[in-house]
Amino acid sequence: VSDIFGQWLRAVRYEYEAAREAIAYINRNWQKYDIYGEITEGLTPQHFKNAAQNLEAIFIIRLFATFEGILKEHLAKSHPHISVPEDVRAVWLIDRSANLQNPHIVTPLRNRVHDVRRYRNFLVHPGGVIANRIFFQDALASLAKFSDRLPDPL
Amino acid sequence: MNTQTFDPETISQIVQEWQTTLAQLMKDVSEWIQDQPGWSIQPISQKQISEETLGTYTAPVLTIDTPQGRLILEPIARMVFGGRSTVEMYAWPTLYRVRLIRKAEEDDWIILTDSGIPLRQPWNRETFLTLAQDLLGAE
Repeated sequence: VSDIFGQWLRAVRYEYEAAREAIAYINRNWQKYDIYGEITEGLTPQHFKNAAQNLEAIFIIRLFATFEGILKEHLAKSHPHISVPEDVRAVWLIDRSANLQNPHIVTPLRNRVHDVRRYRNFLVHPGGVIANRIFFQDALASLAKFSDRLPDPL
Repeated sequence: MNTQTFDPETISQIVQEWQTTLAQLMKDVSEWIQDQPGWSIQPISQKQISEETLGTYTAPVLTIDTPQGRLILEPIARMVFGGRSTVEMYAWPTLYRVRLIRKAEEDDWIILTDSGIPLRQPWNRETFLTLAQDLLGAE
């Protein structure tokens, strides 16, 4: 089981929380303190409200990118004989990594990870296939659980 | 943002008090799980914490193995905004979590959910075991 990969994903949660709290602080205190005097010209309270609204989606994309990095790292370090194309698709990385484990990573868990992947795709390509909404914490749980089934990189 | 500064003696005192508080927390939890069938505690490990105002110090991390999975109590920081100390209690590998918050002037832990809402339950054996089951059972 991987402790290291779980910590990679956990670090993204802290980044998300730090960004969320910073934006929330600005939104709460825009009028109260002289915040507008310290902010780059051209940014308005509405920009920060929009950022707050989109932040979870941004960090789900970031979380999934980290997860893709984990799968690539896993294949490179634990299965160096497998050639991974530079522009490999996430679906291939997930299924390949799941099948290489002994025993294989079970289908329900793999499906949950694919659900996160589909939602990430929906966020990145808004006009594409509609996916069920997944909250950051639930996406994190699925990806961390899958990553835990991989060995730590050698 | 301004950062609070302390003299070395005060820092040493704050860190020692924090380490004592953490040792008591780990001891309490270790006792609470003793009669839980199949639950066991790994040897307490130490982590290094670096805080801007306090420097670097070590703190204990408690890892509990249960038939439903692993539970970890991990200190995060002594000097969190608002003078609060923070310990995370989370399930591994899902990372579902609550935070235990302790205000400087108070002598008890407040349980905070991930959405920042306090649970308003006393921090005791019954609450801990309920939380542990909920965190470990979350899918």
